[in-house]
Parts: sequence; C-alpha cells; structure tokens
Amino acid sequence: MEAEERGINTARQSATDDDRNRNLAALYREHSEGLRLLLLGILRNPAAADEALQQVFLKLLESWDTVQLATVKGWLYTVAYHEALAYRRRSRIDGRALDRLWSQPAWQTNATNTNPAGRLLRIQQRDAVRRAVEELPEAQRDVVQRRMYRDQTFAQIAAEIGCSLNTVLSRMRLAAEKLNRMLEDSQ
Amino acid sequence: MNDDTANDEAVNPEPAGADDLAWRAFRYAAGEMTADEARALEDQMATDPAACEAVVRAVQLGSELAAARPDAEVPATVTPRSLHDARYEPSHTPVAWLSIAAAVCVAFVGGIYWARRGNVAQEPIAQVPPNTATGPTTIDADAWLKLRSLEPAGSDVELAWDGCASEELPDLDVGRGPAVPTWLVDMAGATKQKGNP
Repeated sequence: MEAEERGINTARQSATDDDRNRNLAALYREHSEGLRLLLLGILRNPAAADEALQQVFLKLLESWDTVQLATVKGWLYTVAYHEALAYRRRSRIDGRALDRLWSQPAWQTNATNTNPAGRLLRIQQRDAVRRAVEELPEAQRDVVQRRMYRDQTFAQIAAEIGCSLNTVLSRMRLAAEKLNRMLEDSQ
Repeated sequence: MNDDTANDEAVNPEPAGADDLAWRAFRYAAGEMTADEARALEDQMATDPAACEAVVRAVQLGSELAAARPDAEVPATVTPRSLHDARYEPSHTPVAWLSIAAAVCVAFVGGIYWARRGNVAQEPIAQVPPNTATGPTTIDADAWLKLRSLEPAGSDVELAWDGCASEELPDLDVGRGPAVPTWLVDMAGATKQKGNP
C-alpha cells in the first residue's frame, strides 16, 4: 500500500517535472533573446550577458513554484536587471570603470546573436536593414553611416559635417525611429 | 538635404513620452550619454518595464545596424592582387612564425589523440567489462556504440536500448525561437533529481 502510494507520488512528480520543463523551454524561446539584449545593454559584454542569462534562468528554476506564468515576463526582466547590476558589482565595475562602460556601444562586439538557428534570419534582416538605411533621406543616412559604420561619435560627426550637435542628434533620432518601425514591421 | 535639415531642426526640441524614452535608450546603448543620464536611465529600468523594453529595442536596432555594416561580411569573390602584394614573406612577420608553431603543436597533440583513439577502436568488444547493473550504464553505452559502429549502414537491426534515450531526455517541445541550450536542460535535470531523491 505504502509502495503503491509512493509510486503514484513519483508518477505525479514526474508529470509535474515534464510540465515544468515544457514551460521552461517555452519561456526560454520566448524571452531569452530579449533578456540577452537587455543584459548586453547593461553589461556591454557578450560573455557576461550569457553568464547573467544563465543565472536568470537558474533563479527561475529555483523560484518555479512561486512565479506566476501570467507575470513571468516582468519577473524575468526584473531579475535580469538585478543580475546585471550584481555582475557589475562582483566584477568591481564602478566609478571610472562604469563611466568607460557607459561610453562604449552595447553592440561593439558584433556578437549579439549567437543562436545558429537565427543566422539565416539575420542575413535576411541585414539585407532589409541595408535597404532601409539606403531609403533614408541623405542627411539622416549620412549620420547613421558615420555613427554606425565608422564609429564616429555624434560630436565628431557634428564637427566634421559642420552643423550643430543638436542637428546631428535630431537626424539620428529620426533615422532610428524609422529604422525601429521597419524592424517591428519585418518581425 | 536642406529640406531634411529644416525638418530635423523643427522636430528636435525636447520631445516627450515613449519617443523620448526610445531615444534615451538608444543613446544609452550607443554609449552617447553622460554618466548621470546613464545612471538615471538605469534607475528607471529598475521600476519601469517600458525602460527595459526600450533598451532591448535600442540594442537590437544597434546590433542590426552594426551587422549590416558593409565590412561585416566576407567578400564573395577574391580580387586579384599585384605580385608585390601577393608575395608571401614569413620572415617579415613574426606572427606568421607564431602561427606556424601553433599549427605544428595542434597537429602534434591531434596526432597523439587520434593515435590513442585508433588503439581504443581496435580493442575487441569482448574486452568490455560485463555489465552488472540492470539499466544501461556508461559501459553499456560504450559497448552499444561499438556494436553500432560495426553494423553496416542502413542496418535494420533493432537493439534493446534504442528506446531509452528518448525516455531519459526531458520532454521539451521544439518550436519557434532559439534552441534550448544544454545548460538549461542540465539545470532542469539537476533540479528534477533534487525533487525526486
């Protein structure tokens, strides 16, 4: 009788584990890319972002019984944010190091998507982005190309093309809005 | 171009709302913020999911643009170079010598590895220690792999353990999105073992 009860409990536990694994996999597929981009934005280091991402999902597993699926997205992003800050503290990135970190672009390493399945999509996306950049008005396109392709700062661009920093920022901003819309449409 | 500039100047003055957040996020991700501004945005991210999402979109946009830079891909064709450019003079490049030395080391280590593997492959199957456990163990798996390697391609021989692997793997459905990494499967497995002592 006792053995039978134990067997039923084990079967129940196994079914629960399967459900959890299925949900966990689905959550990973749905949110890992966004979380990684957030972590990359805060940490500016792909390896650190990957490490922090693992910590986020480890925390999710540890808190599985208390996390509500309906609010899990917010939970994941909050945990990711705190994980990133904790990572910076552990790595003693503060003061001047933090200033240096904030002065470099998050996409400097050009390694934001390590997912092999996403590579084909990325090639298509890259072509679409190039077309979208080509379609920008000349003044905006010039700022985008200088900032993104030649790594010039906005101040350097303003000095080189002989207009105010405000104008350069404005052109980049308009271009970014158009490109963002294009990205959203293409997804 | 002049029209664009006029347009830019007209739109520029302090925008508000979601657009402002998107623009601040872009400047944050681009490394074009002062420390105070960056700190303020990070503080906002702690309580405002919209700020987090804005940063995600900004990093995504920047990454897409960076990936689209013309020098980001390998050229499809090799253009002929002049004889002078093409002449290879390793003595002028210490890095070349280092590369050759590294290649020799790798070849040496690889040779040892493959030589050992070859010896293992030549061991008769009978030398595999007998299995004492009831289920498939590591030793069983090795023996099974050896048996499999001896089978002719396309053999329809069914081995008793063929069904085991799928039962032991976590039941993760394959759909859209990135593949579930092995570390996540391992973590889930470890937690499962804790739950079922």
